[in-house]
Amino acid sequence: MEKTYNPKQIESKYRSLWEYKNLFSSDLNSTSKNAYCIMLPPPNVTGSLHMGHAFQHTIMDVLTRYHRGKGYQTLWQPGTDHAGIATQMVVERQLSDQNITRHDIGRDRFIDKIWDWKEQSGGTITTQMRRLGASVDWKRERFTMDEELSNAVHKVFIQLYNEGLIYRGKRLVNWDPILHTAVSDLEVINTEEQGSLWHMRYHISDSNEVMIVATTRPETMLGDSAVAIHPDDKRYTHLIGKTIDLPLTNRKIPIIADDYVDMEFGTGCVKITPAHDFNDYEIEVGS
Amino acid sequence: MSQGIISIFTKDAKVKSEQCDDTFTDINLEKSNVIWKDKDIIKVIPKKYRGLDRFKARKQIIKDLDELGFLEKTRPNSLAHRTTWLRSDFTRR
Repeated sequence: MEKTYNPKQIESKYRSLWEYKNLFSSDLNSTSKNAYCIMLPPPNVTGSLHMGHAFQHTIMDVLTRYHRGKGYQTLWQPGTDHAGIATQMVVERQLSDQNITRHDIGRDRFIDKIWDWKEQSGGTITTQMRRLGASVDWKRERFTMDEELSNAVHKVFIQLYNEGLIYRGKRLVNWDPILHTAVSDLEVINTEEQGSLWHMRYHISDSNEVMIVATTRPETMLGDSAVAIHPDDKRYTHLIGKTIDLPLTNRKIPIIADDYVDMEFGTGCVKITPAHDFNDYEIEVGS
Repeated sequence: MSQGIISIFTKDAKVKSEQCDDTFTDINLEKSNVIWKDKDIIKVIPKKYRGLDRFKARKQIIKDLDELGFLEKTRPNSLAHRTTWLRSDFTRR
């Protein structure tokens, strides 16, 4: 016997034995009145497991083994997650290392490459879980794109919709012009960047008066559909209902009052571009 | 009452032109007042800006506003930049 603990010999022997003998099968203890189940939050097939996974998996493993030991019918369900766009990005990065894009190889070959990656990454993840000794029921391993799982998602979505718990509507979204997809709020990262604030002069129609509006995205002025002031802002209330001549275009756009405008900020005049700004969109469709 | 929702960009974030007829605007929002159709949007975008990438359009519009006396002043400003970690070129700054 060796003096120091050598996990390679001991752990690999036992984890193979566990799996071979199917000791973590959810078919065991089937006569028990008690059941215990954890569905592993499936790791994304974007890489390999990190320390956070190891931590989570340890907690789940302890709970699972505890209940199994108490005689409960127990299932710890393993699987991996396709993580759509994130996985696509991993594969695109690999291609770009070879100076090719997904457009060069075409859709079918690109999807093949994604499946290749899924095999590789998914294999790494399950090997890591096996090495950690996670007492999952490997016979029940699933991938989120397995047909029956996809069908289950469809079924639940339709059910939730029919019960009025989710609804569908057209909204302004975070649009990514490179990825060509809407991006969820959770996937958006706000950073600060050095830029400019441009102050533009909008002339009141048939008048010598001028309003100054400031913007960080002057090109959106082509889509302006109003200029807003605060309803209590005495400097401008006489202009409500009039129009300004939108520069560079032949359009006149109305001056409107809205509580959303902060009188103290800048000149107190705000350009309203509902198609390209969430606050402006709210002014347009809200209230 | 504002004049409605006028989406001036294509899905590549270029200013709309006759060539790009992809659209975000053929939709019916229950609550919205007016959503402009692309054919109407193109009419109100001056020819010289059509088809320009948004950053090129920005440069040109600033230049034109300045020359025509519509630019009051320019101030350096730190602004919120929105990106996504899903991008292959994303790096945390």
